[in-house]
Amino acid sequence: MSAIFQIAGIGIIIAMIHSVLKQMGKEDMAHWVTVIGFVVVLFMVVRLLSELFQEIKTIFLFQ
Amino acid sequence: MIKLLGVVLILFAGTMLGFQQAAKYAERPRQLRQLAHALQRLETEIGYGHTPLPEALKRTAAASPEPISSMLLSAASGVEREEGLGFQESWKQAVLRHWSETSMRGSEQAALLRLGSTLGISDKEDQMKHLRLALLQLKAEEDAARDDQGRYEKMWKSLGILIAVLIVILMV
Amino acid sequence: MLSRIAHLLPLELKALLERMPENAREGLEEIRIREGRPLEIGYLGQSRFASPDGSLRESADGAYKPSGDLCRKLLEKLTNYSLYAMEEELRRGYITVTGGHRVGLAGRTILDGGSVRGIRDIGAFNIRIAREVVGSSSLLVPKLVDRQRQTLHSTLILAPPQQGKTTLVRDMARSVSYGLWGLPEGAKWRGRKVGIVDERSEIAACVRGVPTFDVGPRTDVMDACPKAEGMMMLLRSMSPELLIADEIGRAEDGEAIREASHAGVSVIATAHAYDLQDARGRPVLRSLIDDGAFECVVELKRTPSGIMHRVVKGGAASTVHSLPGAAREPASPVWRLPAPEQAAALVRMRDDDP
Repeated sequence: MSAIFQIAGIGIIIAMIHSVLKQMGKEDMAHWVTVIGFVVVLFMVVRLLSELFQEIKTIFLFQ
Repeated sequence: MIKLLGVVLILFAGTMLGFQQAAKYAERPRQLRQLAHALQRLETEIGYGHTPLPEALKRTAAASPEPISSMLLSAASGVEREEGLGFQESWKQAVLRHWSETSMRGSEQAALLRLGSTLGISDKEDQMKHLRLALLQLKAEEDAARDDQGRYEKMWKSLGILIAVLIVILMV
Repeated sequence: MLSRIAHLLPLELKALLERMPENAREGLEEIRIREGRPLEIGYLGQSRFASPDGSLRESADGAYKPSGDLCRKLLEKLTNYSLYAMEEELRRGYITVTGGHRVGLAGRTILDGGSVRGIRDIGAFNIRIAREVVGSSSLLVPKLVDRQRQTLHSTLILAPPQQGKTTLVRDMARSVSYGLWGLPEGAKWRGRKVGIVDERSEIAACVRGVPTFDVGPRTDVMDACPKAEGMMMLLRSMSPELLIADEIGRAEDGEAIREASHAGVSVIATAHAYDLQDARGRPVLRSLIDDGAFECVVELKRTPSGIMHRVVKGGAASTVHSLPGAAREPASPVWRLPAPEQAAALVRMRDDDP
């Protein structure tokens, strides 16, 4: 559960940083931050997904 | 419990860092204004008071806040301290030495150094001209600095908080 | 002598001058610093070029040439980093520094409506070292004493340039102010109130209005003031009993001296002239002498053995005297003031009685 909150939280924060930077006129930096945030979230999601598939494998293959 | 403490600590650190950066942006126009006042006072001392330069610098330093005050005092006492040191070198040394204590940047430093090479070695009209030129340059920088301040001060404050929150979320 | 001005000089120049031979250092009179040109030193009445090792030669080859940077440092030290505060000095072309030394300046001038307002780029300095010779007038003062009025007669001192007129006049001011008359009966007389008009800041060498040299306790100095105006100002405000002015020659100087005489004030003035005859060739001096404004005329001459002076009193025969150590001058034509003026001179003396 907390993972989802984490991802959500990161998403919100990154969005806010993006808008602050864009407002300051540093658009390119804003985009970089967004990309990095996306990558981090991606890694987190991939980790979670791999855990999920492990669980599924465990459940279905034990039966 | 400790976690909570850690979270609070990180949030606090991030916010403070952000505010510190913002303060720099706020400090620069203020110091530029103070420097301009100091130069105006110097202009009066030289133009109307015919005060000798070391004395004029000391009086101006007494009426100016730090770090401008110590910079001017250094410049004035540099020539008394070291035999063979011309005024230009003394001024340069003083400016370079005290610059890190200010929030000012390269372009105003260059203007000040240029001024130092002209102080005390030409007649009154020339001195006034050079001082006014320096004042104009400082005014231009001050206007630009105020613009910067408007934009970046808020930005850094927000950024500080946001990054702190980000780190917290990542860590927790 | 060098030590007296060493504090004014930039380091490298001071180091070079200290390498000079001892007699040059002790007898130092002038240092001429010209940017990019050989350094010239004047000592003991002669002039040589200085080489980097301190030796002094007549030829300018291989001499030390001051750089622009050195000149700038020198200017900074002379003006205390405040050239802008020396407008008057720049207009006159010289700066008087502490110690009474005069530094003449040469360079590119700035004009204001045709007259000089100041000097923009100073390319040459002439540092003249001032020397105070206390007692240089001790032989002369007794001869000029006016016994009846217990003061000095109005005197005109004549000499070509560089003969020591200023040094002499300075000492005369000092002597009169202190009351050192050099006569046995003068021991009881008080010192007189002296007023000096020091147009070129040479006599008293005032710095910020205070004399550097000892000109006496009852002396007032008008520094850097045109002579005529200065004399009138002193007469009006300082009630002097003796006025001293250096190098008179203009009509207004003459007028002021006449005013002073009418007021009963003795005047000691100097003028550029070789001798009395030469002085009489100048209209202003001639009319002053003929009108009897001066009771005595003194001629000065510098000889290898010292400075000699000759006093010509109204009607008296010429007498030849000299400063310590000098030989007597060979007999020369007797100078007399023409007869009518002689009578006038005597009359003047009675008019001036209190």
